[in-house]
Amino acid sequence: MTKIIEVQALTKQYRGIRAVDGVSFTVEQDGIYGLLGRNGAGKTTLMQLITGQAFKTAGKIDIYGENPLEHSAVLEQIVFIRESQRYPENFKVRHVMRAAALLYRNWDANLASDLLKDFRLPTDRQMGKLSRGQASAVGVVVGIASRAPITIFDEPYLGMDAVARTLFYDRLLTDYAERPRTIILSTHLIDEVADLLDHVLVIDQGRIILDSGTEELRGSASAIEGPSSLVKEFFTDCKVLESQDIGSYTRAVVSNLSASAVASATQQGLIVNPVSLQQLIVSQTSGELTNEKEAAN
Amino acid sequence: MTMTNPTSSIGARIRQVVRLNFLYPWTLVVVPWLILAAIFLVNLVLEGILQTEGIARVSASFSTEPFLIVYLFISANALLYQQFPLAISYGLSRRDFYLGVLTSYSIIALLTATGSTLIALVRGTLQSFEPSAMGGYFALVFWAYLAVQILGAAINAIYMRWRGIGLFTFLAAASVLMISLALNFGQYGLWDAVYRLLFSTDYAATRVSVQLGFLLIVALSGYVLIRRAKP
Repeated sequence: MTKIIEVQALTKQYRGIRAVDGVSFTVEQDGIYGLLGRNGAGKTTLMQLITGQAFKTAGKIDIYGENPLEHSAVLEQIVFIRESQRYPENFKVRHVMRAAALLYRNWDANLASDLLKDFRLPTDRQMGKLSRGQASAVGVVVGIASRAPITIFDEPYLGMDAVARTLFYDRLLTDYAERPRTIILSTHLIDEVADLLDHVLVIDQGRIILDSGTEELRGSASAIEGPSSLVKEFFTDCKVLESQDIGSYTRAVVSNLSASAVASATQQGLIVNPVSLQQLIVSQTSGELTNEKEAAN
Repeated sequence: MTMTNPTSSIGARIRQVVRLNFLYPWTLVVVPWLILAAIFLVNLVLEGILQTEGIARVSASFSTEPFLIVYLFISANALLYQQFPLAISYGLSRRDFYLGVLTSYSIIALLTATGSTLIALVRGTLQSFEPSAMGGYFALVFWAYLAVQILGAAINAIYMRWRGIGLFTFLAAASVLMISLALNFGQYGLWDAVYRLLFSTDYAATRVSVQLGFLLIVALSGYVLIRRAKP
């Protein structure tokens, strides 16, 4: 696989707040990456830095081996669909489509037309008069139909109903299967996108706390539950990501639980289940917060 | 690590920006011509009334230029401010976008100056104008229309770079500077010299050089600010 984005020790500081704090990761060509994290974790800032919309405080970003900031050749390979994209006041939906057609050489007008119909978007309505969900759908249409080699979606579904979101995921995946490219999808609706993602980057408080292939990640953790005394015996052999006691009953999310430990737990009557991506990430990020609070105390 | 898409030349990208700018031509092309047409008609009606009343033709009439100068100042501001976020999200660099917008301003100035000149020609006002030639008038209004758009863009760029606080600081500083200059000109008796510099034909070459230099500085300042602006 070819690395097309390389980020090293990237930092963005706003008046004493480190929105992005020494982040390093790489993105390989042709894959769907999930940039996951809580609100205010630094997802949008990170994407703005990658696309040259914001200015880094320190660190290095290379896209195709070049700094993307003001690099026309690199920037024209990227489409960035923001959660709150501003459009010119008088632009109608059709103007946005024509703007995208002008700027993206891979623009597929037929696909855009199909998507507009799928999302039931009125092409002759002014952008300012669309509902929040419809405006988001316009962004989604541009993001998919532009077929830019690097497609970045920042929470593109805001205001979209469940049907429209499902349509987005389906059409994105179908088009990706036909024309693979690098897609970065920032979201906090983790369960909804879990099946789309090849790779997961989890950001929390400006730092990447998880950078892993989705399958690898799924197999790395388990939920174990049963009587507290029995469950806690297994804590010495694995990393506890989250533990919750309800009376004498414990439910824990643990990582690195060996096959023999799973067999032993099952033999003792404990319930061992795989955890969903969302559960895993919630346990990871809440664990980080707990650790920080403990350290502060 | 090679780019999967071929890249375009700077000329192609500037053309893309110009076409983006003119996607909604109403504000940039149609409204200025409507202003021209409306003022032309008002003048025709006034002249008709004067003739009906038996009053000899007067030289005074509504002029199109001040209206258009104000309008173009505002529309240039809107063009830059409103299209910047979209252009940056859709893979344009700030430099390409700014160069494209400057090209669009030139096209708008050219079209509007053509309209102004045609109306001036029709109304026969050129005889009272110095230099009394259509070419001179065209060059003058083209220059005024272009300059006012670039000035509007540069002032807008201050807002885009530093938002309200930057614009407020700039306007305050500009006001203090203007008042100080006016007071000093008065105190040292320089108003006559300023008047000669602005209007005397003796200083035409100097005036053109100063204006060109000033506009170049304004355009470059706009670029420097846009380079650090965030959508």
